Amino acid sequence: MAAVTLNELVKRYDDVVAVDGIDLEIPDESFTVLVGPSGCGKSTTLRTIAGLERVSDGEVRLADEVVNDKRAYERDIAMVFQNYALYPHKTVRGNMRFGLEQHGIEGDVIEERVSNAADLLQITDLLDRTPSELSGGQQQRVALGRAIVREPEVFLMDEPLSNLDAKLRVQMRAELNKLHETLSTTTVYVTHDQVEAMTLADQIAVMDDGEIQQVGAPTFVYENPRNQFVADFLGSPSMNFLTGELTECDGGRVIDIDGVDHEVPEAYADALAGRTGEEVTLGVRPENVTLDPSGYPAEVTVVEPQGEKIILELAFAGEQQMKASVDPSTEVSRGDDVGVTFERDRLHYFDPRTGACITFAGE
Amino acid sequence: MSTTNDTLVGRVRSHLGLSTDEEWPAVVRERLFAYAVLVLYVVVVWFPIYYIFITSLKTSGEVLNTPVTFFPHTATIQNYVDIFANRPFATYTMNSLVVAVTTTVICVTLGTISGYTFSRFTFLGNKSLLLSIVGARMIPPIALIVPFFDIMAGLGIYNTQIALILTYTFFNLPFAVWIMKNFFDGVPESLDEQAQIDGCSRWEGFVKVILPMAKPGIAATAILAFIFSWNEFVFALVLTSSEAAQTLPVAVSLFVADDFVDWAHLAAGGMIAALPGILFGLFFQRYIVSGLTQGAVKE
Repeated sequence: MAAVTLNELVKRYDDVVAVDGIDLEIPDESFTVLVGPSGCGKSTTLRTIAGLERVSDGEVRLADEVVNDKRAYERDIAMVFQNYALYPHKTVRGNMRFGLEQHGIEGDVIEERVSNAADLLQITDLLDRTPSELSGGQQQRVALGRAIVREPEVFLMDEPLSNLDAKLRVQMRAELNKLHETLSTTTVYVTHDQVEAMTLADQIAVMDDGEIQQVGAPTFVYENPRNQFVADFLGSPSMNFLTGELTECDGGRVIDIDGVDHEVPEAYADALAGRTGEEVTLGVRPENVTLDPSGYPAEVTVVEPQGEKIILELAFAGEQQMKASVDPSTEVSRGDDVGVTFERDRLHYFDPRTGACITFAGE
Repeated sequence: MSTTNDTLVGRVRSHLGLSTDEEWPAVVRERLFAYAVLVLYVVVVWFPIYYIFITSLKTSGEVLNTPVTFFPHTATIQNYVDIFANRPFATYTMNSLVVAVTTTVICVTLGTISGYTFSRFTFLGNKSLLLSIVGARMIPPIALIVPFFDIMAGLGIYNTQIALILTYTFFNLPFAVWIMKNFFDGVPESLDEQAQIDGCSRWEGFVKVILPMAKPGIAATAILAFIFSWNEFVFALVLTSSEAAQTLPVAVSLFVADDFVDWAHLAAGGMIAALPGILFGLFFQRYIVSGLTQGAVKE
């Protein structure tokens, strides 16, 4: 097993910059998830680590060795593709054996590794079938098994769960978690699904526009987004953003959101000092919004019961839209006038011009 | 009732539980119509072959009898014995085999490698190169017959198997490249990449992973190249002048003289010429179907 380091990594395709100078430390035995919207450069980053794409600039280090000039077949990595890429003309066993045979591993070692991996993934009875005889979930296990038998330094996974149905995805997510606990192989995992990222990662790297926006433990990043993009991308439904002018009033600070005065809690006052008269964006997650008749006035425009919670869409201060996640026992219907309050220690303030979080606590 | 039951139609009717005056159900009528069309089609396709076959078994006298007999009075294999004994049909057959097999091997080999290259790699001018390869095939072959004659004569290979192999390769390779490129386009690139991840160089990945999957495409290419080369007549007639290189289609045409057509022997030669093509097609066709039904990758 090995750590992976990306230094100033750049990948260009003609005029298009897919990856724009990223630095990333992937510690040994960690499960690092690259997450971001389509086209953010996360898959390209993974493919440069794999050696399937040549680096345009910067370096990729595998176990402290610069591997820029090594082809994929010279690197000790295993990869799971989104479409599984199982060899259709080989049996499951043949698929799992192939990589080991290519690496000149002895026959009885191969047999042992294949049968161990098959046990681990519960696919022993599928070994003599061909991929076309397997369900999507089974194909996915075989693809994982093919990576596991290699016992590589690093696992690379490119959206491996996105072709599965919702239920199977949740199940495989848990199994991936267990698998990583058992094997402890350094894993780099790419997904656009923030729930997958949050649940699997011990380190998450949020990417956008070819750059890494923030790296850290998932919970930390969720609670302390560095900028508006990260705040918006993580969490479902995503964070509410309300913009208004910051004014001083009676020694306190107030944001005037379309006529509704939001009083900035004392804890954030210092960070906002010197911004009086400027536009400031308040960020609050739907689960940190509570219904309280004494709060800011809002009107319920949509009610979405989701079983364990209800998502309310609210018209706040007339024009602004926001969402609240409330207890399922709450009795509320469309058109109701309600009051809302925000949890005072769960607020974020952003600079609307740069998107940077003004109150970001630091790593 | 017993009388109707004796005929085939009667048996079908009673099997369906229909009384004699009841109408056939629509589904049965549709089926019968479909079968009628298919049978007609099969007859149209196979009748000429049947006719050549029976003609090849007739005596030279019976061939010219009127009314025409659709089943020979006296079946004989004498025509087949004659063409091998009195004419160098063994040599013609060998010429045809050598030319067709060599052309097929060259086209499949080069077509597969180039098709893969065009499918997977972007290089300077790859699109225009592909278009020019296919474009060359769009020229009507007959327009090239004089230049080809001049070239072969100039190279000193007129009336050799090599002249025919070069010519047929020229006409078939574009198809081979095109078919194989399209075939490889249908094979997900992630399989190439998986092979690299598994420790294969690009070439190894091509040989060990992609090529075994390409069998159906190779079979299709091989059929086309073989059948074209086996059946080709005009170039073979112009570029050869003796049994040193003449192929079966030319040999068969030699039974046509200015004032007389030796139908019986011509039919026997025709059968010899047609048979390998038919067998080759039947054999590989099965292969294509089985290959194309393989499930590959979940997209």
